[in-house]
Amino acid sequence: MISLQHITVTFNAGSASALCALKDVSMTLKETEFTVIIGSNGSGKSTLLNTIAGTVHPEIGSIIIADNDVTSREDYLRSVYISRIFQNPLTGTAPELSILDNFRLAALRTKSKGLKIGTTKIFEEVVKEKVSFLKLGLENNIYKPMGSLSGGQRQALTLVMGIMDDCKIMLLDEPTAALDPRSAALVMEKAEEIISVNHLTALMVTHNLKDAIKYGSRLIMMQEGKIEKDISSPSKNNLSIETITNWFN
Amino acid sequence: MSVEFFLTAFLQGLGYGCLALGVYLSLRIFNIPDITTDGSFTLGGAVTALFLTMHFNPVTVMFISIAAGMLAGTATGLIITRLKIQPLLAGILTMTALYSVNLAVMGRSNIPLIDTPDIFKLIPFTNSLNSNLIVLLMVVFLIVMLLFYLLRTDFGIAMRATGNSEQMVRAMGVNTNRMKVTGLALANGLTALSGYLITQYQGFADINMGLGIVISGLGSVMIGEALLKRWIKTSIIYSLIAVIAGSIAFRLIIAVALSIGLNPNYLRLVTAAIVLLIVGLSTAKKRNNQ
Repeated sequence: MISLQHITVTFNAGSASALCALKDVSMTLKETEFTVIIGSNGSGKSTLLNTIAGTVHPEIGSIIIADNDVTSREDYLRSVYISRIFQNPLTGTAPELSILDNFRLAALRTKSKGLKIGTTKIFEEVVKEKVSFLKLGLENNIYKPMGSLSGGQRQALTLVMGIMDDCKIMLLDEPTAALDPRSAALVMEKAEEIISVNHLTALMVTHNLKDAIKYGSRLIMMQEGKIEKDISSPSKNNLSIETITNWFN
Repeated sequence: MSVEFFLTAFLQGLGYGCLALGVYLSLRIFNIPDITTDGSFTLGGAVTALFLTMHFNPVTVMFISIAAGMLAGTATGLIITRLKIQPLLAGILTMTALYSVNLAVMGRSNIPLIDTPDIFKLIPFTNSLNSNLIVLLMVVFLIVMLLFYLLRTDFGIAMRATGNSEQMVRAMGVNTNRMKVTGLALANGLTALSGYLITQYQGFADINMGLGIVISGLGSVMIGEALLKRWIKTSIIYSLIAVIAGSIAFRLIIAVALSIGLNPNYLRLVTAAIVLLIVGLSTAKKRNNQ
């Protein structure tokens, strides 16, 4: 589904503060595989995610998504394949727009945004039905501005927004880092459900080792811009927090 | 103060209303402080004077001046998105360049409109005050309705989201750079439309007619927001009407200030003070709420 070939990313290339974030990284993500990436700060895991999303462009190497070379494509063009969940719930939604408008935009992720009014009664019903999946009672508040909701509610809605339009790949960048433990648990639970029900290829960056063990079928650990460990199921199922913590030392 | 005194301020408020809507679009919808406005307002007026003295049809001239304003906005938009230059600086650059363009269009610094066709004469049966009222109301109503429709379309949702959460909109497949250029083109098209209306209303175009006009647009938007106390962006139609109401209120305040004996030389000082007062009050309120 996604293939990275010899990716090298350098920030501030050519200057004294040049920083090599990814060093000759190659990896392949198979269809419907749910991969979790861990690693210390500055290990290159977010850069890896952003390279796939298209907000960071590699100096060397190529990125293939669904048999298409997308290396030089801008992020907004890659949205045809990719749904993104951001670390900050504020980033993934437009706070001053209503829930309904946010969902309308999400429903057109792979399509053009034309000069017709798409927030019809029929569409409202679709949104209500999709939102009710979260069981947060938000289906009765779809005209409320997104900004009036809590971070947890917004992040949960972002997940549903991700599958409003045809979706094959979901990139999650520390989706629960800004949430309280209860909201975090809810968001992870819903994320896994959405990923497995819709057979998505998913890539999640996290600092939460419990989540890294509990979720996903493959675990990758990054260190200094390289892939240090790459463990798939069933061996992944035998990992313990202690083992992983030792990797960090 | 007579009824006509208030009516004149009301008419001016409508004429400058399109400009206020333009500022609302760039500043509030797209979150870009765009001061191309000063230049594109005069550009609208200059183009209007040029073509009306050549006896073009006023409706044709309207579209020409809107198109001219849109070009100016496109220039600023391209400077911001292609050259990655700060919006304020980009606006100043275009505005400065437009001064020469406007002089070139007009050929001199002032063109009076005498015995030329104008949009207010298109309504044959009434006196000038009434026809001014009818025409201005019609144009403003039409523009508000068009914007009300546009902002609710799928494209409009993408527009509103662009100024709100740029990363999110890009993740939703929107080319935000193209969106910003489009937005600034629209905003300056509206500003030029104001220049078109005001030039005909006052009977002349002047090279300095746009000087500091962006502040009056800003003031109008802010007065509108103050009038509409619970400012909810999701209720688009109220926001648009509030902007027009703000523009009228702004002209009323100025008219009252002049009528109680304010020296016209101090007009811009007072205008700046009014806007400063509104901005100051709103930030003080925010501080108190925290």
